[in-house]
Amino acid sequence: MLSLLDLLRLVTAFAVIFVVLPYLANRRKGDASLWRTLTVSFVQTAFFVQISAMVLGDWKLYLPGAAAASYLLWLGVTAAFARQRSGRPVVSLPSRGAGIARLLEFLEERPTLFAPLVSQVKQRLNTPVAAGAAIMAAAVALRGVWFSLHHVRLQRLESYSRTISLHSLIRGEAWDHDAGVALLAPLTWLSGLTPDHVIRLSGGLVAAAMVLAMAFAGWRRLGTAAGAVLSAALFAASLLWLNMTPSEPGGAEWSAIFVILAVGLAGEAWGPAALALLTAGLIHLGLSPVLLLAALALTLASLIGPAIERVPVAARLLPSAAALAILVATILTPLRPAAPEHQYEAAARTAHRIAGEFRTNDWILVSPGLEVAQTYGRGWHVELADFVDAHTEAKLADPAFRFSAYAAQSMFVFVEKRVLDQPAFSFAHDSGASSYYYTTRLGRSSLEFRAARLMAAYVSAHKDATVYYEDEDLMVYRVERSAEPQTLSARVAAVR
Amino acid sequence: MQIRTPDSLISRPQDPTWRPPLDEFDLAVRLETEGVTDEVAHSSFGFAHTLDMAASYYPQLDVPSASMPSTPGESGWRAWLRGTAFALPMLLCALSLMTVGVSLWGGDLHPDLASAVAIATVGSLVVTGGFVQAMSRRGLFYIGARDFNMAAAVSRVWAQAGAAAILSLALGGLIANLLFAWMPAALAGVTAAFFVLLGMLWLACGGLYLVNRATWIAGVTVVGIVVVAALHRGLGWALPTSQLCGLAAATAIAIAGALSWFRARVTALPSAELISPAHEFYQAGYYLLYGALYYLFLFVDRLNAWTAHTNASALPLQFRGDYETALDLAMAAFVLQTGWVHASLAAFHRAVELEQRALPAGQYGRFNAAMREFYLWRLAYIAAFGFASSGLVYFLISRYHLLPFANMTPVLVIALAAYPIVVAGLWNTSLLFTLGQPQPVVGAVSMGALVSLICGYLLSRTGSYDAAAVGFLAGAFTFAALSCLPVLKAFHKLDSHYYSSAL
Repeated sequence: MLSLLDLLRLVTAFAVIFVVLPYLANRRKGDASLWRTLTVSFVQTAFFVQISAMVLGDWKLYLPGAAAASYLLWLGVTAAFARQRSGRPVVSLPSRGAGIARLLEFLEERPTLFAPLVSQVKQRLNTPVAAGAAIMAAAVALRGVWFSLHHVRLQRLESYSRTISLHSLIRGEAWDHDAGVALLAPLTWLSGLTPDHVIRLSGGLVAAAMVLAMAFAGWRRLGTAAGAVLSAALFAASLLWLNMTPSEPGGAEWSAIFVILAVGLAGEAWGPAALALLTAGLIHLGLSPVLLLAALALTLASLIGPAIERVPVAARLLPSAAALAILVATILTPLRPAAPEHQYEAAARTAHRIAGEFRTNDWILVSPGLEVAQTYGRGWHVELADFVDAHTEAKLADPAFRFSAYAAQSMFVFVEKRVLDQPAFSFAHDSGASSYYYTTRLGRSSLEFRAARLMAAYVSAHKDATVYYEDEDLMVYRVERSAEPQTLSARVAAVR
Repeated sequence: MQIRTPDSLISRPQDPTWRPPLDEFDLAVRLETEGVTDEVAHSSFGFAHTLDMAASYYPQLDVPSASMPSTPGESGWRAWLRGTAFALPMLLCALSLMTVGVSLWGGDLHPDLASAVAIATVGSLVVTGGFVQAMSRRGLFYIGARDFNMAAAVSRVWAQAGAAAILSLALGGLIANLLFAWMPAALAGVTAAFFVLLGMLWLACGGLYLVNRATWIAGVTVVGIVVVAALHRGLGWALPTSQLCGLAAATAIAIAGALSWFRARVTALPSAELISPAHEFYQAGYYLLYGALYYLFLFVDRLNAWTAHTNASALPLQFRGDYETALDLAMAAFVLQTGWVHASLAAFHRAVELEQRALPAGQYGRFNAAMREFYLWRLAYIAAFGFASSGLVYFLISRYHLLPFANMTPVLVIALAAYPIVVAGLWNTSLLFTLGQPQPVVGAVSMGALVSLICGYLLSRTGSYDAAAVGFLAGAFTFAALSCLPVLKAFHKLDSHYYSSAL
């Protein structure tokens, strides 16, 4: 339930940043096509966010204030150009009298602010087609995030590194260009979700965006509502059938959205089409297999579409029938087999629980590296391998010993009781100690065994250690320190 | 039928509200206002026109200005003291902190609580600043006209609007904190409580200022501090809890003080339907904006400093005690300097009166030139006094080692340099308000806040957090410069602006 709420927050943030506000800034009087304006606005905004994140990220300045200012500036410039294209002056601030009169009218009559906009959208929206495409997109999206709605851990090893990359970007730290996460940075701020949640749930966004982009491309290329619905339905069905719904999308999946949109825009709006292709190239230089499915869906739709168009009843029923078919397919298609675990689900959940329960940056987590994705920026982390190498059983069994090297109120040590299954790499595949410990069965077993012995020795001699969490796989020890943060007077006294 | 002599033909040199006509034209206008049209002048008084009648009577009414009683004015020091009244709560709290060790808010708190109180203080000032300005503007207008019923009604409307804004923002902040998890729920609750009570205290103090009970402001602050000291020192309560109780007590007494003043004067409160929100906003909208923007301008550098480099902090907003100490010490100079704005405004009104008497009505060019000269001299005087007092404060701080953080000396120096410039901007602001021109002030203060925000943000993110002070200095220049230009423009036609602002 909470994950569904998180998904809703992410979708709302995406809609506000990439769809609603850019559309409001970009719309012109007498716009012929609502969908075209929406698509162009989305492409332009995605391109801008991508570029601004890369430039400001390089300067370690992609912080909430700078990002929000650049985004608002972008919206302002977009609105000014939209006004110019409409033949209105670029800047025409209402005269003092007119502005006050409008405000007073609002205060006195309290008109419904969005009523005219809603009625305008309704008038220009082919409701059955839009509803059908939305249902299909939602079904595929739910399928994409099904795992993430039920688990806290990430599925793909790359997702962990992408989470760290997103953390680094939004915190103004040194950031290696990862264009696949740039679009997620503003979503992280506006949704209020942590980066690992955003990465986990972004599959739903990408899946829905792909289906909607396909509907747009079908409509533009085939020129009919039936073409739009059929393209989207065939594409969604193939994604489900081949179990290719993006769950934790990387650059390739994000890029595919813009390639599909470029296909839809080509011919009529070459500029935005080129921009869409450029955005796709910036995100990922390469072609996703999903694009092959998109091409096939479009071709099939162009063959079947005209036949359906000739039967008015079939054309009328097509959106609801397609939506129903995709819903049924979503329910009936078996789920993709679970990916191998890179981290215990309990470890991910406990890491989140600690981050939510304790004062930020006042605790240290000692564990294999993947928990960093769940705790980055909220607490400190020490590699289990470093911890094990730095201590001996004899030292920890000494009652006088304290973990004084770790300046935090609480320390949590994650020890696997049942060692997590690792890919069957030979211990000789990499000479690095870290790689040996975390990616070979022998290395990980030896590491966890030594960690368990160390903590058993410490617990036997100290009263400040307790078991914070335990199940059949994992044990989390908590070690308390009694260091209070300094008040201002204490700092003054120290200075004096 | 007996013909009554028009009031405008009766000389009343001892009546302080009466002024002799400027010339025969002025007298003709006064006569026509009383209903003496050309026809009445001809039929009842035997003159061809009203103007002939005015020309005939004017010599009898041309009283030498010197014989007229002058408007009793406040002495310079008294006006200066009254101008510093706004800072009484802060000054008394600082004094109490230094002597007794407790204060109405802030003090020696855990870093997280200090951050909570800091954001509550700044937030409450920004939110209520506009409502206090609007309430004072509208309330003083009716109090000046001795219509206490309407004064009470409009003040109540603005105070209620301010209270509603505080409560709804506190509730909105708590809900947003649930979603965004900026701080632990308990700490968010404490922040909201301080925000609400401080906001109510500022509104209540605004009410006391409106009814000219500045001494009450000092009184309620002292009572609040006594409550805090009694609960914290006497009963051993936690400091934040004691402070919340102290704030509640101070707010209750301040509200009672303002209400009692109105109760003694109000005969019948007008119906709420008579107060139109649109009309109130039309009358005081710019002042509402100015109040909020002014506090934002004053504190935006702190917000920049508190939110810079917080990756390793417990909260996304980290109160920086060292930065705040430097600014608070410089604030002492600011309070001294601000008092002269009120004193200078009183002097401006006296100068206008004197110039009006000294010069014939047609000599408006000389009047404008004389007043422009007065303005520039006052500006120079304020700047000279400001920089001198800043220098004195710096000398005292250095001499007695009052700044414990040596690395914050640049912040202290920058703030001491910026505050006299802010005061020059405030002098311009008070003049433009007097002339009924709040729009350019809103523009100047919003640009000042924007410059401070952008400069401070970039400098504090690319350098250390204390670089936010440079943004404040740049913002102060912007505010003073942008508010100076409309004043100079207005002084070219001061006679016209002054006349229209009085209407």
